[in-house]
Amino acid sequence: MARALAVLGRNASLLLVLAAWEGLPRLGLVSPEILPPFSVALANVGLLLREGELPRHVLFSLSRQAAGLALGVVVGVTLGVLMAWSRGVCAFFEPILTLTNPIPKAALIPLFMLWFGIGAVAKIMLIFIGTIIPIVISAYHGVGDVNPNYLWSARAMGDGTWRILWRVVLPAASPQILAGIRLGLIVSLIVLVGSEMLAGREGLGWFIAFTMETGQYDLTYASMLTIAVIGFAYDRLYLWLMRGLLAWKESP
Amino acid sequence: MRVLRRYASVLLLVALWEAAARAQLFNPVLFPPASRIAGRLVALTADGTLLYHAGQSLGRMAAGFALALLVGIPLGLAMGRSRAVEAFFAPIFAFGFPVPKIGLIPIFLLFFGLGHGSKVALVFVDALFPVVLQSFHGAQLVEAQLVWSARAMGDSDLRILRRVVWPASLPHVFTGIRLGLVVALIVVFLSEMVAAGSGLGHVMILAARNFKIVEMYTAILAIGLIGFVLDKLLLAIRARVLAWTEEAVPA
Amino acid sequence: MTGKIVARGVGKTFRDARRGVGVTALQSMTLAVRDREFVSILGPSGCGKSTFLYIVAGFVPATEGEVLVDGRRVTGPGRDRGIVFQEYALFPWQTVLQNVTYGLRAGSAAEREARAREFVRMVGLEGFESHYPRELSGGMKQRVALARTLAYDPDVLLMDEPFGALDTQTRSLMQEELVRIWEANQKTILFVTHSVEEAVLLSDRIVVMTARPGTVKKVVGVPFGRPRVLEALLTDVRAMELRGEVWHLVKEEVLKAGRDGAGARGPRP
Repeated sequence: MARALAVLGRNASLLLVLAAWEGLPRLGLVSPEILPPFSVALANVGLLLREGELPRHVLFSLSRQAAGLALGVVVGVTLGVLMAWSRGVCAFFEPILTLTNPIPKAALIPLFMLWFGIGAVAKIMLIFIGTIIPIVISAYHGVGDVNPNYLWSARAMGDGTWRILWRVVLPAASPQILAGIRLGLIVSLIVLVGSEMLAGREGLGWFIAFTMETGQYDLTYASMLTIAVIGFAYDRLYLWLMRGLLAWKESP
Repeated sequence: MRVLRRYASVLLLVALWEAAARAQLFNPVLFPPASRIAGRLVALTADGTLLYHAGQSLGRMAAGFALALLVGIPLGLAMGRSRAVEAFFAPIFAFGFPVPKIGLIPIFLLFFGLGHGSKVALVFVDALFPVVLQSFHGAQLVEAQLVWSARAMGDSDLRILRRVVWPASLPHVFTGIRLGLVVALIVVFLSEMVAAGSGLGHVMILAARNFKIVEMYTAILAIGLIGFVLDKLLLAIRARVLAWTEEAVPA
Repeated sequence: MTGKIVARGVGKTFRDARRGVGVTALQSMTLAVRDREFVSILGPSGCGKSTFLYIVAGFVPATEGEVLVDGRRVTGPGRDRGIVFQEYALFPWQTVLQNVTYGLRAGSAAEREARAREFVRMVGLEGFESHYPRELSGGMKQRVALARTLAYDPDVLLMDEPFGALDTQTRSLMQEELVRIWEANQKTILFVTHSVEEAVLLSDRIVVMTARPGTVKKVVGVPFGRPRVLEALLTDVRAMELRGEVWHLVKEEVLKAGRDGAGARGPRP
């Protein structure tokens, strides 16, 4: 009992927000048309789950997100490592990254829609472009920060370049790379929802926009709640994974 | 000359684009030459259209961003120095951080309508997070010994906050500002694309929907330029303000 | 001149590409280390002793002169020259056993593991095989670093102030450990240190370096026999006299370095 209270106490601010969400419309302080109470939104989530709408859209969205992210991770880490390792590669890609970094990836959404259509490919490409930037940057910095003594020790033990890259550089840079992937994850969700809102026929983002346009506001809130929970859960899962992989690390 | 060498790869890509577009390697409708895009950019700037819409976008972004800084920096610093404040607000930021807040557009549209308000609110909510988190981090990392020295010299808590914690946290606060700016730009353009009557995001999506391809590219270019310039500006300010930060001297 | 390690006229000048100035860290370093000899390189901070060691290791190319190990010119790092750093350079993502196994190539996986275990035991860390470096103290970490380098049996051991990061007590214990291990293994060791006492306790010969640009000031022989009992040497009169003599040599150079104002840190930006 005491433990339950403690948990509630720690999350007091969140509970306050939820309380406001529930209370304000019920008390009539905010029109329930614009803001259905939290319990209603929750009930609608249940409804959507049962009717199958939600799982279908969630699956669509997450599969695209996963594909885009996976692509971003593989290409991004490789590029980042190569850039840190070879001055030539760095000189070529660095200005491209510096110039494209400040471009809000959102601006590319309509462009990609025109190039790739409104289907899955366009979304995956967008997510790929969006996630690759933080991943490349963190991989680049991670490799650059590797203690040169590690490299020298490995060289003295006779390791060749590939062996060193795989067995020393990558593990040594993994804390920063994994942190960059987390950012990529968060960006991927933003790009996913954004692009689905703007074009397409399915996905959570589309569903939110659609229910809004057709005035089914209570369903809109339900889908927003779903996205929030998915985003949070996804991140928590990743953090748990990350902590496991980095169990060897000493606290800074 | 040196500038040209640094950006050689970019210039190469632009040249390739121009050549490919003129040779009509790809669908010419979707792939206009870079020169035409640049030309349209100049034309639209000259007649004021771009300036008007850019002004709308920047205005909304600035308002939301300024709010985020005004609220976020003090909040983050307070969280960094006070366990109680941190304990109270931490769950909100821990939960909200990974949530794609773009999904909240409907709420803001419903509350504030299609005008400026919804965009400003969204920018505020989105930019708040990196600003708070980085300020928090910076305030936390202030070396205990710095604070103790000040205490030993008789400084009050408020004085310490102003004269020790604030300058010591500045590097991290700036990182937060920089990240917040990136987010603010993304959000303002995205929200303008979803629902707005003006602004560069709106211009772009309108052009795309009406197949005015060159206009669309022009809008993208304009957005990119704005992002680039703002970032450089911020870095310059940072260099000035943080001139005292020591860079480790190699032994 | 012959020997296990022979350095002829080795010089190193660092060039700052942007400003066009050069810093000469080393010049005309000439010395020979005999097989199975324990030689210390001693000098004031910034005199280039670590730079010299890295040149012998092959991490840094010399700008003048050459280094021969077993008659072969040094052109890069190699398994014949093992290195132990001051900051241990243990791979933090690997356990003690994995670190020690890292350099082993010959034999099956089981054979390599067995050999690694043997060396872990030799440095006194039996029972800690599954620990991560972050769980170990400084002295323990240095032992693992030692075990890792000894396990694959390099011809020569290069040590860069290996006990510099340890507290004085652990340091003394590690010195005894090193002597014990060395007397059982008898490898050629080139040992960089800034501690006169350490050099006197451990080595067969001490190479005293001048301030920057560093070169050999004097080579001093250490007359104490082997096996050595370090504790006894602490109160031995001859050892104290030798310490005084060597310190005097080093002190001259330390003062020179300070006077010339170049400082031990190198050119300021």
